[in-house]
Amino acid sequence: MKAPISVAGVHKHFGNIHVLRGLDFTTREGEGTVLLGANGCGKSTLMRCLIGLERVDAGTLKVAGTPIDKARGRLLRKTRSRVGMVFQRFNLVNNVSVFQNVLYGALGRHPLGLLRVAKPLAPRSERDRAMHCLARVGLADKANQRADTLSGGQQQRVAIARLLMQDPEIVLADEPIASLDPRAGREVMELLWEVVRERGMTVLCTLHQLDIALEYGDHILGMKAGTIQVDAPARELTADQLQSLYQGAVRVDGQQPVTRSEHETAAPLSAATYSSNREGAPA
Amino acid sequence: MTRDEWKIEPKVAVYTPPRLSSPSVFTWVILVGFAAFFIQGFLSADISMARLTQGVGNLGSFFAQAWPPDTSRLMPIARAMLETVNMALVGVTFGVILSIPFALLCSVNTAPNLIVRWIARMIVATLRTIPDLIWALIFVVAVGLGPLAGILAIIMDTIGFCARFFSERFEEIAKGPSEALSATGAGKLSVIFGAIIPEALASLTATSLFGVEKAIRSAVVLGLVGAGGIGVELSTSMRMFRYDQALTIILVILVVVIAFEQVSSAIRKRVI
Repeated sequence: MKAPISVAGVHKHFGNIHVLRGLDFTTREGEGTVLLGANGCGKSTLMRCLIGLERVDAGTLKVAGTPIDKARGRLLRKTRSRVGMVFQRFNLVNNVSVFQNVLYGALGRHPLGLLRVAKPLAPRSERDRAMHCLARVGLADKANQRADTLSGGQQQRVAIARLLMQDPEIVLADEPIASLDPRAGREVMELLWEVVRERGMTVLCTLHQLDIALEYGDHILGMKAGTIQVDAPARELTADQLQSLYQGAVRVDGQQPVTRSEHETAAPLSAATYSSNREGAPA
Repeated sequence: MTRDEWKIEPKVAVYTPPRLSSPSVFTWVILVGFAAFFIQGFLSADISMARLTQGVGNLGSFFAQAWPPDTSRLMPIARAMLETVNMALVGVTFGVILSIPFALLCSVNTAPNLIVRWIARMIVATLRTIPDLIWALIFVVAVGLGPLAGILAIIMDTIGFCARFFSERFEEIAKGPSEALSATGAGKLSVIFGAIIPEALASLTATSLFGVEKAIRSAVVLGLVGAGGIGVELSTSMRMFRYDQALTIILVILVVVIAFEQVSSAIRKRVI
């Protein structure tokens, strides 16, 4: 069976900063792979490259059998429709309803785009399907509300409903719970994994919490300063072994994170600590 | 605490900022240039005490003749005012509708390519640079006297204003939602109409309402060059020294403009 995602010799620069420094890995069909790494190690850049939002400088990225780094136009859109993405900041369209946001998940299926997906024009089947997806994430009653009136956890669940509406083969989740408090984060993680398992999707998910990574991931990839350092099944790893990913030269831009005491780094890191200094990082 | 306690070493002292620093050459050039134009302008306006006192006297006699306002022609004046408002609303509506494609072609994140964007920006800048009265003069030549010339002038003026602000708004909205739609495999148009325009909608509405206020003010003066509206009435009254009629017209304009500004700021408060 072909690997859903395969990455070979990938390099990427932003100006003088060498962000991705020769990545090689593959994921297996139906598996949940968790990508770990400190802030600024290049995780998000990799995720963006995998959906074609950024272009790589060298190497090959194959997603769902398509070399996405070379894909343009229709092929790129077709491939993207087979790959769903969940973002740290949810990325719902704020001024429209929750229902419309879920309908947007079907955009890649319809060559006419918005003309078949806008609320007044969508066919009955898509409308029903969107409501089914919303019910699956437990938010059917919020269908007519504006997306920005929901809490963070609810917004991420709407994003999962949008993902379900898209029904891709592969899911890329870029720190899906980093903007949420621990409890909402765990609920979202639980829901995401349920949905993914039900539909037999392959997942690549970046996370900051080692305990959650080891609990949900089938396979763990550890990234440090733009390279893959750990590539092993989750059951063969312990949290202590993964600590090294957060020590020493972890960033791609040469800045060093504030040193934490041994005790602090050993504890599972809270979402809030991480989301606070993420924005300025180039990765 | 003694003074010595806060003494600084010579190698620190060299970094102490001076009390006053000399402005840069650029600042000097601007200042001198500005002063030269200001003095020349002031002198050429030929301002003298005698002229100022005479002016105050003339203004007094204008108001003396204008008061009480003559309301005998109120009906034709009201009709002219209605025509002014109609011109403004029709012009702004078409102007705003046309501004959206122009703004999309002007914005970095929506323009198909650099050349198109550059051309669109040049067109919008030209529309904005030419004042509405000059547009009105041009359209009076093209389509003759009357409100049509005024409407066309307002359309041009609105595109110059709205397309610019719309495109700035499109450029500064958060990238996330549009990226999320692109990531589902949506085409460019779907991303624009599904994410970019909805995200910018509140701001577009507010800008369009400013456009209406601006258009009503310009529709009032467009009549002075024969492009329809209440301006014709005003210039006729002034030329015939019927200052009492002119005052009625001015008061009607004042009421309508203030009323529109109130309505538009009420709507703006609701959408933002």
